[in-house]
Amino acid sequence: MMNDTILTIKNLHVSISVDPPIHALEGIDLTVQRGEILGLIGESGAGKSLIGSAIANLLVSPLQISQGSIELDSQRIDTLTERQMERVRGTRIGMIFQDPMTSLNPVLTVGHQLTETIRTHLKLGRVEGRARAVEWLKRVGLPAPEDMLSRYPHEFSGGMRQRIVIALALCAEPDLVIADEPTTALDVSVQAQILSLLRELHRETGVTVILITHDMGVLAQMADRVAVIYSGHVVELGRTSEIVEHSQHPYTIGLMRSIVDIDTPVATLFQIEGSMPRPSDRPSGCAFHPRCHRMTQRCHNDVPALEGNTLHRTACWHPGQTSGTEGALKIEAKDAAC
Amino acid sequence: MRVMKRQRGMLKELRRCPSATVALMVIVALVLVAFIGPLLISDNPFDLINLDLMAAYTPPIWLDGGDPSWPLGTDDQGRNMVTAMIFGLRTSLLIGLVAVLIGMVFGVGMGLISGYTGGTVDAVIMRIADVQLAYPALLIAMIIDGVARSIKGGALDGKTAVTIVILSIGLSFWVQYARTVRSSVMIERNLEYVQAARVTGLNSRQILLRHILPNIFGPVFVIATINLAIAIITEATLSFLGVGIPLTQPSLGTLIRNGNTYLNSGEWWIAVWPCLLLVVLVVAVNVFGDWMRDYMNPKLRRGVR
Amino acid sequence: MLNIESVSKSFPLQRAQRKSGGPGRVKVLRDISFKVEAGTTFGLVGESGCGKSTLARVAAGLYRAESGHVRLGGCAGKKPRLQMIFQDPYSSLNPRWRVYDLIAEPILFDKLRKTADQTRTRVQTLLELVGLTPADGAKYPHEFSGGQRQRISIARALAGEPNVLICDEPTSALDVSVQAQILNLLKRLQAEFGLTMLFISHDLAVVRHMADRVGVMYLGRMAEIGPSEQVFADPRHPYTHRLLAAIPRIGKIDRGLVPLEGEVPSIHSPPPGCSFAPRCPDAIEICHLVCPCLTPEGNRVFACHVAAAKLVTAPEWS
Repeated sequence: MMNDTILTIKNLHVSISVDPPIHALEGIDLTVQRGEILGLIGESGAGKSLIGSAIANLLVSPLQISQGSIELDSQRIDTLTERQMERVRGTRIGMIFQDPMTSLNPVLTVGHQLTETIRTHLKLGRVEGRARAVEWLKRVGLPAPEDMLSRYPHEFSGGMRQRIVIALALCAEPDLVIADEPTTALDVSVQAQILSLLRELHRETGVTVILITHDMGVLAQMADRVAVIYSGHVVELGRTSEIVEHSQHPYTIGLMRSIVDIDTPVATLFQIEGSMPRPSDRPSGCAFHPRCHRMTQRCHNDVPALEGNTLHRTACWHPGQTSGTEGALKIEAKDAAC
Repeated sequence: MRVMKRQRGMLKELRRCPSATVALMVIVALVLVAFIGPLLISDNPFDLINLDLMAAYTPPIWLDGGDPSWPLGTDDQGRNMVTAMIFGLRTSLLIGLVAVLIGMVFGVGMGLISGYTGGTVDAVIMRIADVQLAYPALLIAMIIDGVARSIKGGALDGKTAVTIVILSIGLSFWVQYARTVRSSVMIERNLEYVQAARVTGLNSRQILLRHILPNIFGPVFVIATINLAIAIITEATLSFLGVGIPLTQPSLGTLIRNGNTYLNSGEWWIAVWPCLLLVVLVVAVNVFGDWMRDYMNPKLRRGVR
Repeated sequence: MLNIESVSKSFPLQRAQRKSGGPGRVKVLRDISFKVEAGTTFGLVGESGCGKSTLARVAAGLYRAESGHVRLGGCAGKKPRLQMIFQDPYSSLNPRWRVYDLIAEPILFDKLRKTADQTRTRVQTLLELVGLTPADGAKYPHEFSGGQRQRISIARALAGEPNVLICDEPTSALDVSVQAQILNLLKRLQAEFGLTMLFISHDLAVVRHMADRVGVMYLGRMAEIGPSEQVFADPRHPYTHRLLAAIPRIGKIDRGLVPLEGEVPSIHSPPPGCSFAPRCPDAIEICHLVCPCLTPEGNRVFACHVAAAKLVTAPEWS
């Protein structure tokens, strides 16, 4: 894999502009390598979707980037005007959202939306644009693509609509695709199809993907690296197998353990007491410390920074897999515990 | 009630919009004057005993012939314009408020039944509503009024006229409420809190009144505010046309009608003052109603539903 | 306990959905039967359109079954009482009511307590039982998070002193960590009060965790029913099998998901024969023609021609 960075996020702060400002995201540092799939996982409200929105400059007032920088191919994009950003979106950044019904215009045919996007960004003529659209619909697995062009979004099922959205996101051949919960609204069997499609397209085009989800299973199957987001901070970052098998941050460990695993029935699920604080109620120091059994005074006072090596970094004053009751999840087939 | 907490939030928002604040103050002032004023004025200018024909046609104080006892002049029967307008304002407001209330209660009731029951009942009610909507409210009011007069045979006395006018205006309004409430109810009845109430065992009436009604009241209130202005104008129009309130217990409209006769002969003030007062009242109600509608619109507001 | 006997349900079509010459109704449930023993949990799984939510509402009495019966049994001779928890924590609580009133409503409605003081004590007890404080009673639903609102819903359901509790996707709208809390709470309460539970979810892992017996639904019919251990470890119906394979697992980072082909057919025009046949890799000719009946096997049943044939030819199973 090419060791070359496509996206750099430095010290990103996204805030709600009130007085005093509330930071929905604080000090986010991420680099995305070209051609990789980076997963962002966290609970709702943690800020993972905000990172995606900030990259694509889709933040709506009162949310705004208050600090930090975002660079695409070493070029700053957070300071671009809306006009300039419109050119970036589509040709360089593609977006896939959770709900296909709001991403697709219900009063325009699928063909119109697809050809319009293709022609605008790739500057093609009408015939060529249409041909490209048909090609993309075929590529995302839609049957009888020529007939599909004249249909409206509501005539398709959820899975098919999401395929169309994927075609829309990729047809302008962007370098980076941000997929925000692309399969959350879909059934399990359809989700498997869509993930399989995404993997195949990723392999074919080499596009870089930022995959945002709350489902660790999805990331385990798709992502090369994972960033765990908690209350506006990146608390752990590393290769997927590292995060899953050797989690170091107590939140990640707890998260892995609370997941209901179909292959390993337990009597009682592990639960992390309490709940994630809202940005306005974030505690001082490490945001997780009130819920953490490793908490010390330092955790209360200072915000930990991401420390570690390129494979695995953790933002914790007491990182480490502990033994005993808090074991890390093993990857190999488990003995049926009960 | 739970309304109290929301009112506090509302006042805070109101302060941000100066025009709406002024409008509300004007409305409050006029209401106070209209309802407390008559209690303080010893002589009802419309009681025939108090007429002083000698003082008729006195112009306002700043013109020649003006008199400090009658700062805004007097009308053709010697009534003090100021007191005449206060009484007129009271009648206008009373009619407006009660008419809106009647329309609201009837309309909301119909809307609740229509939206929750669905099926044939809904269809029947909505068709009746559609038919009524085909006619302008003024025409309906006049029809009801005319029918009442023919039943009673000729001119109506003050009290009956007020009742007829209130009923005719009120009943011309119900359709708006019914329609809005119906669509709100149709949305709410599918929400899970209604289903939870059904599982607990509540019947339709209990669910409608206890659960659904508090949730749909916002738009109703907005319509009511706007309707108040319309009701006052409609009544004024009816009275101006002669089919409303007689001069014995006049509203602002009646006063304008009366003064209209003298506009060309120079006694302009008999018509103009009531006219201005009517305009101020209606504009204030409209401005406040507009603000209220924007405030209630959840899409425009940031924050919690 | 709860008995569902041969329940079918159809809905009238809206004018816009009706095709000329076509039927005026769409059948969402076809001949569903199962039993939930007292004090146990029955899980209903299936993807969208399978009818599990409709079935939950028929069981709760919110819809009337077109044919068949729903039978509720009380425990210890007492009158059977049923309550329900819903999926959406944001619309399942009336936003204009205080939490106290929401929880007190079932108590007051059925006059389960005699005096106002007793009611107040009961509401406080319930709030503490679900992990909230009595002070929370004075607040409004919008002041709570999704997980807390589900707790309030649970308290409200328990206030009705049910012996049967229907849970319609109670954790689907919640985050993983909150889900664990709520599921643990439900399990604890079931054990404490001996509740008979009907647990509906699209998440197979959650159903496996919660249910003693499970029913897998597809397009309005039962594909298979059995003890959850057996059904998930060794499914009989091909749909169950493929559904299990499609779940993205954490433990197996092999990037080798086996996608099930196609999508669930429209409920308006179900395929002839077995509804799953068009997508089934094991389908034989009869599958496209005749709808399979439920074949019993020990304390399991399944509706599949191919699996039934295997049963006959493998005598050690029967």
